[in-house]
Amino acid sequence: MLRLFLFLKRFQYPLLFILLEAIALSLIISNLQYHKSVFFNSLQELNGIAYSKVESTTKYFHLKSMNDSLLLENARIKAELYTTYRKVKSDSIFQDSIKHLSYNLVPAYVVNNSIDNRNNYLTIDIGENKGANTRMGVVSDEGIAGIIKHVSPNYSLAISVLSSDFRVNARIVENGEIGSVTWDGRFVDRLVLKDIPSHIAIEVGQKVVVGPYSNFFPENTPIGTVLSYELESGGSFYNIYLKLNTNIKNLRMVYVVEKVNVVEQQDLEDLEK
Amino acid sequence: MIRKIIIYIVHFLFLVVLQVFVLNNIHLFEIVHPYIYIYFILLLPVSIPKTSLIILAFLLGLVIDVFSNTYGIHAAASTLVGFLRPLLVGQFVSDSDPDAIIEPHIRGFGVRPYIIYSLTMISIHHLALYMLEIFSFRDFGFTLLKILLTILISIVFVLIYELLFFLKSSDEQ
Repeated sequence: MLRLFLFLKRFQYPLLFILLEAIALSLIISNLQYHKSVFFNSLQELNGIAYSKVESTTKYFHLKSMNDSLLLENARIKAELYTTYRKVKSDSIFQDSIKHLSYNLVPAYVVNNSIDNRNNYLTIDIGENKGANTRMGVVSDEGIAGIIKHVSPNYSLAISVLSSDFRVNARIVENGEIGSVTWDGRFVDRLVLKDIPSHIAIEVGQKVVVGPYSNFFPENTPIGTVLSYELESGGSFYNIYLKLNTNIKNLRMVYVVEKVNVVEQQDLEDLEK
Repeated sequence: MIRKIIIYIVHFLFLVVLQVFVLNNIHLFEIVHPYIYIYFILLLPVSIPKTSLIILAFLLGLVIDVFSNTYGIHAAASTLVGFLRPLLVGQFVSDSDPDAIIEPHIRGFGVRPYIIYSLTMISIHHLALYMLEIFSFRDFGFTLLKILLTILISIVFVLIYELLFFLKSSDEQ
């Protein structure tokens, strides 16, 4: 026992180093799984308060651009409203809206946003109290922005599209091909669309939107447009580079998307796991 | 002594706030931002016990982690720097009179040794940080470019901080 004590005393410095590094590494590893990092979850509220204090001061500098984007969005929604109104009038068959999956949107401000790490995060100023929950999508008025990973009472933390964990089912509008979109860690406005087989004709400028199998985003939410493409090293699939629609660098206002009935759907899917 | 400790605490808090609320929002070329918080480990006195140094380094990294949503990578990199610092400082202090240098600054070290000292520490930190963050050798050329750019920018910020706060204060003492 004494010898053990002497050993510990003699090597306390390297042992302490190993202990601290082990703690740090275990934090890194625990973050690789959803819902598991209890330590950081409990600090999320503190983090959110600090950032929203800073954000509430700097918000005033962005009022004009925020206003402009709201006006644009309003104009677009109005245009959409008028076209649907005309459609309903011209044919009198009503569809039962309950058959369609619908979505609730909750507006929120981004209080903190990183872009130059390998895994980037958005801190949003709504939390559990306003209905935010993990695995809900975050969209801007221009397209997809992230997925909520942790929530605290008044704030939530979302992985940004610029993150290695981010993956979304996507569809090319022009030919209906379905693949998945990820970020390769290089440019803040460029995503990669994979799993599109090489016999499909791809053209620069084609639009890519959220596909039908996404649990986070409504179908047809814009993702981006095709910038360039190349064959993967194996040769049977494309790597298609997309220009991201959302201006992720200057993200201020977002909507948290809640898919109605998603719990029911997930419960059903979990039956076979 | 108490006054010294308070000064160090103020530097700790100031560096954390500067890092988290100012420098984390600077995105040069859209891929790098400077890390200045590591300067706190550079500035601690030479005589500080090794174990306190390493614990302080760990805590510093952890605080940065909490505010940058990075989950332990800053803590790991910063602890590594704290662990290696005594070895490195030994290189510079043993040459001259050990009593003369109480804190590692340009004043005591000289310009060239100080730049070598801070550059080595920052390089170790950034290398560890980015390798942990990216965690793969894919696209290694790009990662290396990112690391080199970040080191260059961080060293500029660290030297500015050093010149602002310590060229004058060492005159007073």
